[in-house]
Amino acid sequence: MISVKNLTKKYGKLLANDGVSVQINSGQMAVLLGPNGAGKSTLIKSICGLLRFEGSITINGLDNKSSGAKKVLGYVPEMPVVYPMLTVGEHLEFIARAYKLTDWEDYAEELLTRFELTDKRKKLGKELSKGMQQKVSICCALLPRPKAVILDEPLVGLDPHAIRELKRILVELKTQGVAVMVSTHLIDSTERDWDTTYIMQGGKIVMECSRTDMEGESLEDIYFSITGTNQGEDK
Amino acid sequence: MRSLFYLTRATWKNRLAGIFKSPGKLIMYLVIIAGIVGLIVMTLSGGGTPAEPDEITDLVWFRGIMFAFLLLGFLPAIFRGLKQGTMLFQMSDVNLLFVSPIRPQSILLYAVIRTIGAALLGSIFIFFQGGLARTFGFAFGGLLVVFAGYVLVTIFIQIMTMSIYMFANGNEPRKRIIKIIALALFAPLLVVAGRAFLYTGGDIMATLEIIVYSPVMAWTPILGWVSNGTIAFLGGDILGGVLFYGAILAAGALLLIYAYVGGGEYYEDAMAVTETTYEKIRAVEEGQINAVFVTDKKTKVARTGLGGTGAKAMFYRHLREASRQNRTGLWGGFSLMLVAGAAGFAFLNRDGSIATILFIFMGLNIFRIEMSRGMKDLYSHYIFLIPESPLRKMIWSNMEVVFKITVETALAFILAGIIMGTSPLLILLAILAHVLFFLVLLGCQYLFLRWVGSHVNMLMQMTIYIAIIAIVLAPGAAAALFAGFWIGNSAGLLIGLIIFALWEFIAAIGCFALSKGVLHNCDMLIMDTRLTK
Repeated sequence: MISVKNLTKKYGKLLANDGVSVQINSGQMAVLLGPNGAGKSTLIKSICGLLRFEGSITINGLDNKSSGAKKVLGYVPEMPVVYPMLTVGEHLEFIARAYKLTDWEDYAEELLTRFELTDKRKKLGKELSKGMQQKVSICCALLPRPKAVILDEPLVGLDPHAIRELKRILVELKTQGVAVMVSTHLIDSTERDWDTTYIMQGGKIVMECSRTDMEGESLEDIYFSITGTNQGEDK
Repeated sequence: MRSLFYLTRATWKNRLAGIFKSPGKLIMYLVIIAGIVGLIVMTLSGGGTPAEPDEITDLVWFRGIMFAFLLLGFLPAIFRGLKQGTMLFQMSDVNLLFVSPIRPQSILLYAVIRTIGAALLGSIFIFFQGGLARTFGFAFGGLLVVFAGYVLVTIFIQIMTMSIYMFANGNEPRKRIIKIIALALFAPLLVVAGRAFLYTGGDIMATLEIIVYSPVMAWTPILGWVSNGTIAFLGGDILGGVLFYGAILAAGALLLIYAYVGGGEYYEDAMAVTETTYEKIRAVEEGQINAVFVTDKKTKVARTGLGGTGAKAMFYRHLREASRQNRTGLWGGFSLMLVAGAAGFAFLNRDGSIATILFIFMGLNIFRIEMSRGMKDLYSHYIFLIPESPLRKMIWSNMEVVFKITVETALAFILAGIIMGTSPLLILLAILAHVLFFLVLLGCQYLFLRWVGSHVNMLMQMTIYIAIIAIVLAPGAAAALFAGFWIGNSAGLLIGLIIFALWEFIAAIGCFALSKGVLHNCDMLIMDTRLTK
């Protein structure tokens, strides 16, 4: 569903991603781990078509920069980005209109309810706390019912209720056949539901492991065995 | 205090080391320095040939110009002080120095000295005013005096803003006192202006003449003192200059003593504005470019809902945002200022040409486009992810600003044209040339994005952007100027404008065609909050 082959991305002289390959199939949840500066966000932004890169990325078999791929991709950025002068309800309406969605109202209502935003429907983006903005950002990403969802540090800033709800939604998406990719530093948060884990360091995938290959080892054990305890920053 | 010396020394040492470690940065700084030195030399050489006595304008007018220019920074600073204070400190000062055992007074002094450094750098533009200096009959030494006066007032404004904030923060009666004092400072001058206007029967030039010659202007605190001190120095009255500049120094010292007496009491006030500003900068760096424009102003949500589908939804989103941002919708205070400015200029230059207004408008809009909603969209992911063709997205995300500029230009040029007695055809051509110029600017922005990207520092971005505009417009401008001068008179202007507008049209189409697919072939923009990376 999400296929990245030999991705290389440079910022000037800095090699942020070096020959990265990732494959996430429908109904799978892949976790992206790595120390700060490992190149996780660059990889995610490249997949979402926000950066120029070398290599190939396809979503649902389509080039990631094609309209077809964009239609089936949902993205939750690391920092929630909302429009200060648009209400919560209008954010969802904007997405529905931009993606030309039909019969979206009920699903929008469901998302607002699940993230406890129904009473904030008429609140402007600038009036929301960072956590609320993150919730709106998640709702916007999920509204088009994407077939692939990419979340960059989605739990940062969320309250416990929203964290639980997001985890439930991610499991539901998996069962609906959606390919899910989550980048996080909170290893425990995905311990139960992951299928594949990619560990990045220095712009490269240094380890790929699937749950079926694991023999009683926790994700945390694997992570520290690969990156070491004195990992520091890579950049 | 020794730790603050160490901090200053280490900061500068590392900054210099950073420049020498990066050859690109070093070359860039050398080019900038060479440019500045070159301009200073040009100013000096220009000043070497003194203007003829009959060409020299009375220095009193220079006092008026300096007063008016500084007023633009002085009045907003008072209101900023009432509302949020000033940025004397950085977040690292708050986190590391405020909690340290260093005396608060020393920290304040350190921040003020650092501000002097910034003010010196920010005032370099004074040395480029060779033309102005020649007009008023003074040379490089005179520019140095003007530079000193400008730096003095800039530093005073910083200290004043912080002092006002410390005095009036959260205290309504004290805020009223500051407002009354501010009004009292300028009230005598306003009375002089009002009387002069009535006395001259509304003749603006005569009114201005009475104002600049009035001793009331010279004695208006700070702005009057600095402008009068400057012309005293320029006119050879050293004692007068020292007295006026000294008065500002004394006033600044008094405000500093006020802060000193308060000891660490300024911490809370300084921290509030430093934290707010820091949060905004961080939000911008992390992609929330709109954070800069978010104000505490209450926004009423009356009507909700959007229109359009696909890329068109962006246009309707912009309209909704604009209606909430300004009561007047798309056209805010700046639009009004432009229209009024064009009318005012036309009124004062009734024998002039509408082409002058066109050039002024073109200059003003070169950087204005950067902050349009369409351009700001490039800093967030939504526009990249909308499943539509890049061209459609480009068109609809800029429709709002093009519509806004077209109406604004039409209003300003028609009004100015009527005042100047310009022919309707010439007015229409000027409007067309300006709107097409705006399209060229948009096209150049996308070209820049397509070929250069956003991962160069801001200074380099500006240089390349301006170079692209110059290269793109040069052939049309040259042809228009040649034809205009060759034919001469109003017919020449007409033909010149037709040629220029035609070229702009071709250039805009060309730029858009060359940047086709840009939204699928560029990096999402990142706001560089520093001048250099």
